[in-house]
Amino acid sequence: MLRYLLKRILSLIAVLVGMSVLTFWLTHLIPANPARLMAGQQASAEQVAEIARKFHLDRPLVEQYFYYSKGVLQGDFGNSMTTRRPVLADLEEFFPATAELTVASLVIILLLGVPSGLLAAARRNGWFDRLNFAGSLVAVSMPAFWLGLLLQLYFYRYLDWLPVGGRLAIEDIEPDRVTGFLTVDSLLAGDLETFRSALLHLVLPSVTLAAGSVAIVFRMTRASAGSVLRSTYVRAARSRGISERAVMIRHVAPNAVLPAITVIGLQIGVIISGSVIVESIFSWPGIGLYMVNAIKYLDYQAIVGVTIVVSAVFVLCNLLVDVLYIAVNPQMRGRMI
Amino acid sequence: MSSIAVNRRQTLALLGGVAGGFIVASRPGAANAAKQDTLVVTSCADAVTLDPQSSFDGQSPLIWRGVYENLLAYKGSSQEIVPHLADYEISSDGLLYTFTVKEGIKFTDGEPLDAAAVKFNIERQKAINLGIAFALTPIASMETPDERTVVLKLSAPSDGLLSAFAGMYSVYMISPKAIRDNEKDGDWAQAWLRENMVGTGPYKLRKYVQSQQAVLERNEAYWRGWDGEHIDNVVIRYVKDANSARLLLERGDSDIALFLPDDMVEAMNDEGGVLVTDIPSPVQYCVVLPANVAPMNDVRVRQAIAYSFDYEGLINNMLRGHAKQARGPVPSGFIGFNPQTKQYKRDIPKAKELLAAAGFPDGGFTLKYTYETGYWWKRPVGELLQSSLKELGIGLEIMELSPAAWSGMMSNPETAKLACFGFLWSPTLATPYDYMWSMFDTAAQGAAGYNWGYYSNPEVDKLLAQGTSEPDEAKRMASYAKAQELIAEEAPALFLYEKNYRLPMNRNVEGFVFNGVWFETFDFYSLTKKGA
Repeated sequence: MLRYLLKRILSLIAVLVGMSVLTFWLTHLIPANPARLMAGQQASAEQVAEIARKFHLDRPLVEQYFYYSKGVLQGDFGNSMTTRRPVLADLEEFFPATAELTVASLVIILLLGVPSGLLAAARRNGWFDRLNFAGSLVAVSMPAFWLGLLLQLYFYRYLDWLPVGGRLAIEDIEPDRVTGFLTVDSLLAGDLETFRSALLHLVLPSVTLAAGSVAIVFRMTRASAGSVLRSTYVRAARSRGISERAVMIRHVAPNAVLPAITVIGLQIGVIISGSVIVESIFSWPGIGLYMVNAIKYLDYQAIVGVTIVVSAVFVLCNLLVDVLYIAVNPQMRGRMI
Repeated sequence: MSSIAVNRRQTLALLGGVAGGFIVASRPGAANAAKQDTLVVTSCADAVTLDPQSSFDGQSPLIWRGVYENLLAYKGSSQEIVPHLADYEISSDGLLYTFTVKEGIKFTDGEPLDAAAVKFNIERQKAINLGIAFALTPIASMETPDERTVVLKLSAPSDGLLSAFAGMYSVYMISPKAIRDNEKDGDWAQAWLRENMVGTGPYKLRKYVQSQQAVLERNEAYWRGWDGEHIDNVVIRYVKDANSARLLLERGDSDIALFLPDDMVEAMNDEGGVLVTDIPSPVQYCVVLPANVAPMNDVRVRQAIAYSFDYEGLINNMLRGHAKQARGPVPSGFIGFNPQTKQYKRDIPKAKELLAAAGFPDGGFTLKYTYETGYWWKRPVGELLQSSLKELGIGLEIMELSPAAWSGMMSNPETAKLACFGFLWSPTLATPYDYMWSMFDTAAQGAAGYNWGYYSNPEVDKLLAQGTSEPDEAKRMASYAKAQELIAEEAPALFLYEKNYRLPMNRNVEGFVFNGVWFETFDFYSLTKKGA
């Protein structure tokens, strides 16, 4: 197990170095003048040159990458040209928002996708199964920007139940930052009103973000539960007179959930990439929105910084899922040790 | 089987309960929608920095204006400069500027605003060399003969210098103590002032969360006092999605929505509680033509294009009449505008005649039209230009680029060859020089300015230089008038329209005065909200 982990962590480092080189090179391929853009409409040539010098934009590409990776190793991701402060400060500011949204989406995926898949499999072709199947078809095919817009119109414009966007309401003041998760920080501050507001603000974006993945996890669980239900050990259990409920809980669920774990691991990547769109629609100040802005202004160091962090999170999550898979599947344990 | 049915019922009941919980809980904020003492402004784009001396972006001044103040101010909606924190006097030769700071003005940290503070702020502005610093180059030396007086000595007269102490980008007064206390590695406290504000203005910063919100509250000790009706709090919310911003405004959860795309603004007109302003503005829209490479270096070819464009169609159909055709490079309501400047009208026979005289009777060449993503108005203008040019046999290839790639391409004369581009100009300094220099002076080519059509006329350069350094107002304006005529005649750009300022806001917001020098910002102190 230890050797396996070590191997995975080494490959993780290789992936990150590769990603940074690739992103760095790709962003610099575009013949652009970000210094000119940053300096503003009335800036003089000296002001533009000053900015270019400050960000090493006047140096050859290899040298720029050298400066950059040297900084990264010392925990310095460079400075963002659009926000004018260290990229690391930006990431610290924006990453928790995306993380909170991702966790909320994962909770929705787990709470809705897995149980509904199991229930649908138990009553195959029943009304619950059909309803969910139709629903999952819609959820998978509907693009996030469209779903988000519809939810906003319905739940904000017409019903006025949920906020249209942002992490807090207009008059709310952000609680002091501890974790960056507003739901957690507001509880730590003992501010239940802000907690409720933060929670309500999470609903629409996380539902929008989770919709497609819920559908996929639902189908996956339904399919694997279906095949487990047809297996001989389930038949054996039933013939011994064990109640259907116990069969589902003790025999079907643990076995059907295994493939779903792998799928959920992959969905983390889908969720993080989906956050770019969802954060734009819901004005959610996370790294997705930050990335959109960085790309627009070709803010090199911000783009590379976000890419490295997102890649690291994705690779780490997959590692975690694989380890979890080994932990819950007794068959796998012996092979990896 | 029955046990599963129970299980299902339980699950459904649980889900129903969760949904019901949200229904019962009323949406936070709804009750506060009509709060009269708080003004809520949404902005579709982020502020860059709270430091009012270090940026030239279009979004940050919205916050600056609430907290920081200038020595001078623009009177109402005019370009007339009047005293604000200080009185001023200019010597007849235009070389000595004397500011006398008003008494009893304090920063929110208790520091007094005196001559030393003013001098220190000018020094900081020059040292960090960002923002308005370029306009301060004529200042040769500064003296503070007494506690209230600052004297600036200029190396040459400059007609833009006064604006550098009055407008949206200017030497705002920051507490010198705050700068000194928070200086790090010789940065003049730029890092600290990025997120903190210490000014003399009517409001002070309560909370700022990047990309999320800025909350301003009343500065109780404000020197102009709080008699009469004023807004107590200002909340600026960064709402990136234009649809959401529109929904917030229409529902009354916000009072003003900034940076919405124009088609959306036009669609909002006459809707319930929302009012869309319709005020003439000095923002000049044009298409700059490439002027340095054949065949575009022939004046007649550029004039032919200017005669071919459908100005009326653009204004009446696309802008629904909320604009008027521009006349030359300076907008008609602006200081120094010359009404004698030539204005082109669509005249295809004349255009063809000019093109034939230049040796291109059937056109036969292709131009590019470049614009940056996110600028809604540039694409339709390009398409209209494309159809106009088609009648002359000239091709037009429309290219959309990211803003960074666009500025990279256009600021390099090699890649900018034969490329037109849509451009708008809003004034920084109250002088016609501001409009003409950046786009048409030879020295403003490439990275130095925005002369990305690479137009060059020594006569124009000379007139502009004469204008800016001429202390006599009549002579100065005469130089600028001549320059306007010359530029319009040589058509280095199509001067399209002056668009009215169309800002959607709640009907109950009162006291808004638009001044084109201040763009997408508000004098919060003069605004009030009437009961719904």
